[in-house]
Amino acid sequence: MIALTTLLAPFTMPLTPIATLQEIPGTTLPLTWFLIMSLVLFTVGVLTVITRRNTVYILMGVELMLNAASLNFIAFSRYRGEAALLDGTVISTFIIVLAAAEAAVGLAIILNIFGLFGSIRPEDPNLMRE
Amino acid sequence: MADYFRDLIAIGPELILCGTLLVVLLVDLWRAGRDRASVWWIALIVTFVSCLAMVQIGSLYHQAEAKVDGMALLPEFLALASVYTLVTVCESYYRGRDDWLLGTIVLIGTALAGYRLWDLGVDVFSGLDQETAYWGALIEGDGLAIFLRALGLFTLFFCALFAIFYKPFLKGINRNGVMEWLLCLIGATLGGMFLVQTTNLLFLFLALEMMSLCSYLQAGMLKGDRRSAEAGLKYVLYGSMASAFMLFGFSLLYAFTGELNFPAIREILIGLSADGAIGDAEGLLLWVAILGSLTGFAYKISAVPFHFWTPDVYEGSPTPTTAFLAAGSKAFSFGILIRFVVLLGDVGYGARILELLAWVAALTMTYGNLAALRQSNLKRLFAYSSIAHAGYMLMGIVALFVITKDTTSGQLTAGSLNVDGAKAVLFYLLAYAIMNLGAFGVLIFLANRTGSEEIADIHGMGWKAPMVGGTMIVFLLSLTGVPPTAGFFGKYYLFVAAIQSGYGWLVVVAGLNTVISLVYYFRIAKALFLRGEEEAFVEIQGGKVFSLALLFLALLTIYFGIFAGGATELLQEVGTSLQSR
Repeated sequence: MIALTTLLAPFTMPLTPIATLQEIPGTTLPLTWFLIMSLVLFTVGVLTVITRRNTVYILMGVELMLNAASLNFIAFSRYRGEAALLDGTVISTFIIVLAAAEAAVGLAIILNIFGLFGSIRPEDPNLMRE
Repeated sequence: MADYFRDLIAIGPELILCGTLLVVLLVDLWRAGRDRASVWWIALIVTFVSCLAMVQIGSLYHQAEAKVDGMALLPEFLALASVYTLVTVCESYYRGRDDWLLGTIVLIGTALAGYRLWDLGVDVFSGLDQETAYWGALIEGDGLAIFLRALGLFTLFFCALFAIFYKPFLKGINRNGVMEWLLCLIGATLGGMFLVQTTNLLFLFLALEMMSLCSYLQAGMLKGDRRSAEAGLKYVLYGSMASAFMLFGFSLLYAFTGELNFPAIREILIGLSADGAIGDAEGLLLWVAILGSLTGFAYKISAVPFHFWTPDVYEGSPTPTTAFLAAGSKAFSFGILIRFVVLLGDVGYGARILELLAWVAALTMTYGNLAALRQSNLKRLFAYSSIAHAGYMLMGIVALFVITKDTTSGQLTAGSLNVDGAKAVLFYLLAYAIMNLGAFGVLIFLANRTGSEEIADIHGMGWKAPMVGGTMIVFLLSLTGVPPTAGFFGKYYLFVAAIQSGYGWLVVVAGLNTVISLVYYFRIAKALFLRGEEEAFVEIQGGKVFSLALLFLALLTIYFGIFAGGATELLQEVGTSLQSR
């Protein structure tokens, strides 16, 4: 059993080995805040996916998970200094576009499912069993 | 500018596939009538111009000295021009009876792309092309990439061929769906071809998603078919979750190193662990990052904790899609997994991950084989068999590094790279693609006649179509791993590599599993040949082209089962080139 402090350590420590991390003048929020936010977002996403019995909600949960990763990318590129300043922005733009494409494909398939089964609960289509 | 040409040439095969995709769209436009035409034209022109613009902008960043003459692009232009000519000719000839048209275009486009790839491959393997990084190191056109792209084109060719004959595509409301299905097939292959040649985390994610999104659509493509819709739903829900986990893992890797390119990440991680800068907390973070990244790959290759989608998706999808998922998608994902493990396997916590993967391999093959025993649906049976084969191939991935355990501290360290592991996996991927495409081709042939994919309904079919039945026996023998077939050498190389790296126990597990697999493969052979004599003997006629394709695949299976030497020499070279990470 790993103690909670060990789990949280990466987020509360100053992360010394990543030596290039630095505060950028004008930023007031510490990096840790962004990390906690992204962790919360990711957890909410995972919980949504696990608990919701509605395929549209599941897609929403996945979006949250993708956004958590986006936030990570932006936060870390911001705190890595001038050289990497745009990295996170570019990456998150790609992720947003991709998330939209994924939602489009997912919704198209869900619409098809609704037309054929009259339900969008993920457990309703179960024609194939052992 | 010259550098821009060099980069363009490096992705020549993919450009040809893009051209093929556009041609398929164009032809559909011709067929659709005038009302839809204007919208399609505008969409096409906008797409084309924006693609050109993007390439142009990209070229501004690349201004190194000349290496390749602009004239070297000639084959691509010729290829595109011939595709356009061909379309015009075919369109005027086949108007009104064009079941073959679209598939044939894809076949020709694939062949042309293969021709371009051959040129690139000759350059790489003859040692002419030393510098293999393109597009500002986004793309790595080394031997591994060339081999897997060739395998992808091979798969694309046969899947398109099967689609021409696949009955559900040829009737009723699905008739117009062939075009969309072919577009998704090309798109998925394109994504996969980019996937195996990238060394950049962001590009990797984009390529993997391109492959995934097109695969989701392919799975749910049979309109009005409830099982196909269900397959699409299950694939997209689980798949998007897996890719979200993978992206989160990537973001943590980026957090750790501040780099997106694999070689740079590797250097930084080596530097950090040499400084002793990776303590418990950072180690945990790194462990989560790598595990998260592996989730996406494990999902695609259907390794055990992430295998649950496989049976339903394989069973519900149109059979050509299933063939693509089993042969193409899996080969691409194993390709990028090799790259990932080769670059990150011996840094930081790589040894622990590899040890975990060994257990995953054992579980995967055992679960797949045991579950396949009690299946009555052929596609579902092949789904479980494909899980089992993923387990065998993971054995080769694990064997990439020799793990040594420090007896005093219990610390695991990964030694030098064992290139035989990479060679074995790549050879197995080749063998697996050939025999699996063949097996699914036979399923399509049988389902076209019987309208069913149950084992109970194929009794005695082997007598009615002796040639197709005979090829199925070859594929089944190869899947089991009996000489003289490609599957035998595939397993042999995997076992040798695993023993070299000290995974004797894993080889024992794999050997036992091979025996189990004999049982259910034999059941299919038995159903084909040993029963049903009481029925009246009616020879069934199949498409000649289709039978010839199956015969070709069967001969290829036997060829690689006897003359494996040539292929393995090439793959040895691929493995050796991986050493200069």
